[in-house]
Amino acid sequence: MKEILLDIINKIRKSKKLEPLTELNDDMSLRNDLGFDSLDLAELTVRVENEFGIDIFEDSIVNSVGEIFQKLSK
Amino acid sequence: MINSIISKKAKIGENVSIGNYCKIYDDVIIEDGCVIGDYVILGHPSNSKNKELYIGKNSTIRSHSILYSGSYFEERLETGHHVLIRENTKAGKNLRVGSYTDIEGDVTIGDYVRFHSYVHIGKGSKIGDFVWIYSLCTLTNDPLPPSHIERPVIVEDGVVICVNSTILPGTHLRFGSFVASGSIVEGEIKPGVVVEGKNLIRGHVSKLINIETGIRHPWMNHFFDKYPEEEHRRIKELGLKIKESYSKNMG
Repeated sequence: MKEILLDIINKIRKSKKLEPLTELNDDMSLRNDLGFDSLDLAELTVRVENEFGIDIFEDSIVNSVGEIFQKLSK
Repeated sequence: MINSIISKKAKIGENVSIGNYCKIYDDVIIEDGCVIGDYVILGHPSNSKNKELYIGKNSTIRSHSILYSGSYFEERLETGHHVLIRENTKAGKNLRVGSYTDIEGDVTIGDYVRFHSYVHIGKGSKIGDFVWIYSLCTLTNDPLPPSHIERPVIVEDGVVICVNSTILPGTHLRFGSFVASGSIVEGEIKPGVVVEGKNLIRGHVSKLINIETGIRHPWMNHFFDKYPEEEHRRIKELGLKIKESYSKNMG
């Protein structure tokens, strides 16, 4: 799961011409550490939903990588 | 109404206010309750076969705007200053046109459409209901300028086009699609799809979220209250239709 999410995040970062990450930490902020804006989050949501069948923003706001993992682990 | 020239053949309704230095040509119909600002020209001559300019009730046309003959506007048209609307434009109710925007004619526009300032709507464009087009956007129509070829743009209901975007000739933005600021878009964009840059698909509008406030698109979810209550049901139904387009177009 971690590798797949990392791959998704790096695909989005690549389209923004950002350097790929080598690992994910739970406390990474989607906005401040990954540099994601609303459009990036929309793409992230769609890609994660296509992969895992879960809308990570459906019930509540997700701010960090750790919170994504929690949603995917349910 | 200093120095305004109003044709005796024009039909002016009740409680209409006309500013100074205006010119109102023949075959202009201004319904009740309209406000016309200073230096406005209504019914400017055109090549349109239909010479009539119709302005629905309770409309406001602000200063230095020019509306050509041959056009029809339902109630509550509102313009900013220095707006140009060419002939054969047909618009539904409550159209709002920002300052310095121009509509190049032969354009059809639905209900409750919003053009912000400095927008260019190319000739022949077709705009649906509840569309938002922000400042400095351009809808083009000539695929190889200059030429006699016309490929107008189609913008369906509920579409949002953010600032400084260019919509290329023949583009078809399906209902609820979302164009991010500074984009250049061509071809068909499927319902609810978010596009950025040069046709880059970024996801679906139902997944667009402002992380600070938690508000989530489609905008009908949280912005319907900006419209009259009698339109809320219609707007919410459109929002639902856009949301449901997710599984078909992005799943």
